[in-house]
Amino acid sequence: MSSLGKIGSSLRRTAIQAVPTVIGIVILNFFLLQMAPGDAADVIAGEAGSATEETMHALRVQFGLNHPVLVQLYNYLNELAHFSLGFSPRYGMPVAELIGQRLPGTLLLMSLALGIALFIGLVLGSVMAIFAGRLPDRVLSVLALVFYSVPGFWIGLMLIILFSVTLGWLPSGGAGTIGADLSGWAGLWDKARYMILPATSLALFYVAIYARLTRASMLEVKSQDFVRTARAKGLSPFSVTVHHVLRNALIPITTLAGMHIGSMLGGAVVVETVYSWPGLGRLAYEAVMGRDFTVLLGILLLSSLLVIAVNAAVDLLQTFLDPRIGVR
Amino acid sequence: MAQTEQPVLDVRNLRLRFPGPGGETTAVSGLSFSVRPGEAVALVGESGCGKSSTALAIMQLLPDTAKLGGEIRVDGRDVIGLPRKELRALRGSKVAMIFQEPMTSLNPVHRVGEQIVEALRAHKPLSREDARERALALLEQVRIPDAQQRLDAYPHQLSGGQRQRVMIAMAIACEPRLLIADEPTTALDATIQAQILQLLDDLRRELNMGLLLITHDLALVSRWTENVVVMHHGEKMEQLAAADLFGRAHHPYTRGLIGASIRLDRSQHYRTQRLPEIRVVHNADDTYEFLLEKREPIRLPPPDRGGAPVVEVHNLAVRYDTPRGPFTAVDDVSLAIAPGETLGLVGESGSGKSTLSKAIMRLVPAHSGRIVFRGEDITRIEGKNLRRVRRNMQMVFQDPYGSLNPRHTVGEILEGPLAVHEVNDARERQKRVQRMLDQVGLPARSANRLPHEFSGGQRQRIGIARALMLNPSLVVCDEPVSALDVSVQSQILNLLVELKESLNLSYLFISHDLAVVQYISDRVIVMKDAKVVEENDHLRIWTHPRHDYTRALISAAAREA
Repeated sequence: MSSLGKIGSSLRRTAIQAVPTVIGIVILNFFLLQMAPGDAADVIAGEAGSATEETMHALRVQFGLNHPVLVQLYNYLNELAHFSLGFSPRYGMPVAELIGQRLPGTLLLMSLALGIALFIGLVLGSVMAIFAGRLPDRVLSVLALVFYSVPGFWIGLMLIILFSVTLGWLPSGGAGTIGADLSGWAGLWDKARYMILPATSLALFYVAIYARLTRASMLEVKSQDFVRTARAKGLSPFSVTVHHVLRNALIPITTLAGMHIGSMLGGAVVVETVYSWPGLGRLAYEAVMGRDFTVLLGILLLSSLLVIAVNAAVDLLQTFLDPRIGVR
Repeated sequence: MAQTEQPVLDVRNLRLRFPGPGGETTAVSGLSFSVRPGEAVALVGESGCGKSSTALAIMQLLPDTAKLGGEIRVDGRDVIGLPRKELRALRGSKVAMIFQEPMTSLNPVHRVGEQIVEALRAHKPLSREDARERALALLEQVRIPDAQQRLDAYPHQLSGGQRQRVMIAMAIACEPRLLIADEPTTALDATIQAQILQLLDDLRRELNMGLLLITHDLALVSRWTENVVVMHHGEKMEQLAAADLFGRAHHPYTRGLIGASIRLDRSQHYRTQRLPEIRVVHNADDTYEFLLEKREPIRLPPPDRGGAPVVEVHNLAVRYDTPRGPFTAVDDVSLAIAPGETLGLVGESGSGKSTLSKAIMRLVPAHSGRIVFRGEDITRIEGKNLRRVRRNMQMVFQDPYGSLNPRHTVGEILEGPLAVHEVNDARERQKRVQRMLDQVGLPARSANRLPHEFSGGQRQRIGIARALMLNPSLVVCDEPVSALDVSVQSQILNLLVELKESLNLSYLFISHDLAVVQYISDRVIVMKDAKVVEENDHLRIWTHPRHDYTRALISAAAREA
């Protein structure tokens, strides 16, 4: 019970500490975006092709862009204080609603990608560690190097060419068969088919990282005294590897996986564009191109909250994996 | 009855070689000995003599590259070349092993109960519940208090002694015929050491199991084993009954080891007697000669107790903030060291002796009290003033491996303090480095080499040289010989005495080894639970101990010897 209480108080403390962090992030982001040339009115006017000074001014008044920067910041923070993310001038709808539509898709894609990356990475890394210095290790090291160095968009395009164009097994883009009203297992399978390629291309880079990290970490643990103890007990190589080596090697891997949630959001922009996946990443990209700063600020705010939440979760996971780390 | 007399371990003409980049190195050659049921045999020697490799060879835990020859019969079966599966059935059930470091030999992320259960279930068809019950009985058998609760503890929640007990419980879980204990008490405090050895002794009689004790400590061997095998450079020097070790050893190496080791009951002291050193001569035809060199005592002036002390500590307290509130590591400690005096500081781990030395060096802040160094209150000084004082007080550390930067040459390590303390002339710095290397008995060309090229004893010489570069008046030696072999220990202690004479030093000498403290100290203080419990001169503290704790320490050390 007391450990549950400790977890509760630890989460509460994280939440309280998150408030100033988030405010700082919002203000920083706001000024960073102000430095970008142009605003939403410029882009809309440019797309319309025939805007006058008056209509531009009218647009700015309508979006609240005519105020001085500090007033705009005040207005935005005021909106946030009332739990509103503002209104998108470009999409003509509340930002929260816009993000709400896109968020589940991205979260699904990201968690699938992270799951794939961790699973394959751990398996490959374990194989590499067990056969360290021998042929399987060498071959997998080269493979990991390829995954690590090839950019995500290129892998995405190649996967499309192979699996969609040449073999015709998987769809090349989108998030579901249009018009098909599937439910149950058929619906799930349909969704999965659309997710395999984007999730894989997002995951491959991280597969390489986790495989190499698992290898290094397992080799380090392998030289520890308690592994010798385990072997002296007469345990089988499998149970020595899983219960003693891999179990301890997981600790640094979870730390890194937690840190990768943030950078995966960045990777999602590219992959979602390549696979025309209707996610947050593509929304962010469109918002940048349309100078729709309210949407962008909302997305950035949300991702910082996500990173903070994931960090808290990883901290708790660490205390579970390593009893020497106490919940504070 | 004839069957019980069959040895549980029979090693015949064991040869062990490791291939390396510079050709093969021989770890063990032509070693033969045996252990009968219920018998305790000691494998004795200094680091690198092949004793631990022999133990790992018996368990077949050596790396795959090791080349083994000869026979190792465990309970009648030769383990060399045995298929892996049969080896696994043997390990942990017929032969078990405990290791030197109880801190790292248990998996930190599993509860100790689970780890014992795992050992049981690897060899016996037990249900989880039955295995757990048996694990509890084992913890009680190795006399762990609150065994029921300890079952669910993680290793880091146990003390070093308790962890070693858990290791023993795990090792005897399947009632092995042979237990190998590789330096089982080296990392433990004296009082705990005696308890663990007593436990091992009781268990081998109870379970009628052979015990192979691997150690560098001769005093321990004569008390706890029946037969001794003395090893050097992978060969057996001699084998004799443990009772004969101190009286009737024939081999010059054994006699050298005995001569070089310090024993509490001999009351040796550095002012009247120097320690004999073993000289090992490696001849061109690959034979060895062993010589015991005796040295004349150095006449040292007595400590100047009338003058101002080098350092005085008044009512010092040091506190650490921990998540569970403030922890007092040093509590109301007062002491003084006279010029030319060596103050011995004895205590077990956690008694606060290292914290006290760091507080005197101003490496941790004092909570209250005063530190006066050569008449100046240094308790709160900072910056330039602190640096000025620091050159006069230096420290020698325990671990000759971890305390030297592996990427700096010895010359750079020794020049470091000079550069910091503004000796700007490079040629002058090099001259001083050469002079110091000569004083600590290292060849002049050492300056261009890296620490890993030196042996443990040589590294400790480098550590001492670094401490002395700035001509300090006080040197704090924190367990300077604990990590060293007996023969190297006597060399380093002799060196400390020589340097004391030539450089007029005062020492604060911290150790858990009573015999070493008795030899090197003029006065001794005993610390327990952050407090000084006793202080006396080097003779009376052993002959007339007043505090119960001092008595317990002495009797633990005497029991071992």
